[in-house]
Amino acid sequence: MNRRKFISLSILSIIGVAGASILAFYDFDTLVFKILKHDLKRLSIEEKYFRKFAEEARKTNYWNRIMFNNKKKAFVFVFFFLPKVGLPYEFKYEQLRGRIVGDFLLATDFFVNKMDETREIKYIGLYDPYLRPCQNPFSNLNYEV
Amino acid sequence: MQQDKYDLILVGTSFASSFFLKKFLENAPPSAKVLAIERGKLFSHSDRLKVKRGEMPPPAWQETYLSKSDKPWTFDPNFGGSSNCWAGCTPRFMPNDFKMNSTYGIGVDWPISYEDIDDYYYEVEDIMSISGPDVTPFPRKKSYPLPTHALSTVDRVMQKHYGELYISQPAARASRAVGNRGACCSSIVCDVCPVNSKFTIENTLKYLYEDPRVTLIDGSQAYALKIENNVAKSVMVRKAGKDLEFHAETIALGANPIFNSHILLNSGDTLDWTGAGLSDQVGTYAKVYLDDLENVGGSSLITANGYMFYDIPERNKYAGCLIESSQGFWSPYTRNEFGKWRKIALFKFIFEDLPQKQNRVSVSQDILKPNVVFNDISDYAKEGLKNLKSNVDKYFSVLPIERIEYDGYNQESEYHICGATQMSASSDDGVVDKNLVHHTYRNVLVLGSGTFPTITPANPTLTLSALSLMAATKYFGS
Repeated sequence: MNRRKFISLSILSIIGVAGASILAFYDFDTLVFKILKHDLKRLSIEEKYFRKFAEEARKTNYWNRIMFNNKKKAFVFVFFFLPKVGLPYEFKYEQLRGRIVGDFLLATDFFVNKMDETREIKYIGLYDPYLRPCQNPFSNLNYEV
Repeated sequence: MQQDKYDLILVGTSFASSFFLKKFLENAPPSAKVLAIERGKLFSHSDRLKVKRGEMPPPAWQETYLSKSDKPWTFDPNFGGSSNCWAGCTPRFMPNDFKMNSTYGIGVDWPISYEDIDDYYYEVEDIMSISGPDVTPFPRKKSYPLPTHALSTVDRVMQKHYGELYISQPAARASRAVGNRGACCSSIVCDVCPVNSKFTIENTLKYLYEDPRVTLIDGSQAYALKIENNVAKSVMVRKAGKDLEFHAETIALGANPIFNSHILLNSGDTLDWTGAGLSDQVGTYAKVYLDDLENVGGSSLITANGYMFYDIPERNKYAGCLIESSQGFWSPYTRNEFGKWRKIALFKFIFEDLPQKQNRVSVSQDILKPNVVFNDISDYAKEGLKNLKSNVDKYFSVLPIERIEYDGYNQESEYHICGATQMSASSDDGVVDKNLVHHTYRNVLVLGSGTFPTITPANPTLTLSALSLMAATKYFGS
């Protein structure tokens, strides 16, 4: 095993252990709520929708269905509490965190209303192409270019 | 042991078998007798939707092959095969893909040329009702059957600079309703299309298996051929724990490359290349964060294909790459920054590979389960990956880029099982001849992407389907 691989594996192991420890005290719904509340503070959304999204996602197995598995959840948990100082894999955390925020916004009327940041945002329901096909808000059906 | 005699036995009901069957039936007399052997069942599109909606449990997973490698070889072992789970990407191969050795000194030349299958490409494109653009990097003489899908705003910038090297992806995701298929509405979940837009065997070619000349038996796994004096006499099948034997004049193996080669190995095939050279492509993603360009307006899952470093002079040193401009997975991707929510693009870079003889299929203790060994991709593909960043720097600078985030790892699979029964001019270098007839067993045809002697960056389905039409035409006459 080379040095780089050893360091990577060590970091991943620490993340795994830390993630498991945090999971024991903190549920994913709460984390989702905290992320949404922080990242969307400049938009006009009622907090109750953050909780509703987290609950609906859990009840419908949403995270597993989009392949946001427990490993990824643990990863987000750990990095959420770490200082952002340019750690390895930090960009991956930001991508996963962004997925949570993006999927929440897809469950609202924000994208349907062409990302108008001045409007009050309403919750519609989880984005599910099998329950509501043809709802991709960025497609040619919504944007004629 | 059951004793029946058929003019033709087909193993499998996926693309390779179905296109072969279609051509055979067009010219076969009313008295023709065909047996199609399917290991799975018809798992209908409507039931697949129920699974996706959580209204029905998914079918139990079954181990179909043995392997110690992490690389998965994914396919759908049911009626219609992987047409049930493919994404419907149908670019043609480039003319140079067929002559890699004479053009670039890499790999081998195919024993056929682009021109040899050109007519069959058109035929498959018509049957699948492909949506595609008028201008393509590979030669075409007429328009695609359906109008092209819309490019996104990002794609339009790229196309403005690269013209025919950056096109709306030719796709079996119908841009207009056609036959039993709905119009693609960019739902981004193509493995099971919510509106049944993508071509599947079930929605377009199922009628072939209802033809009175055809008998379909399902839940039946073909595992060997009985060979006498280099002539295949019958197919051995396991159905519900019982062994059956079906006799035929001609046998066409249209399972995937792992099982086609396994059937041959179980039958005593000793050609050097039978089972050898199992391959796939190699893919990796990059997210491109854009300064002042919203990525909107695309009309399908993969909105475009880029060919800027696919067929370039450097292909004599490293693998060519096909670029896919993608809209996301399950849900469209977004950017978590105020005011920049959709100022982002996702690109996948798919590199070709060269068949490695040590990556192979072999027999195991279980006659129904092949053993799969996959050690590594070729150095040629690795070199292509090494040159990715420099090529992206060179060709993507036309976009207003803030930053690019590379995944930094390869996808576990491109889900394109290739090689292991490759075509060649001689039996020393492959398993089947240029018409997909086995070099030794001249009444056995081996179909599908297993016959590809080199593994191009482009998606294999259109080409393997065209090869099936060609093989049936050449073997039975038109």
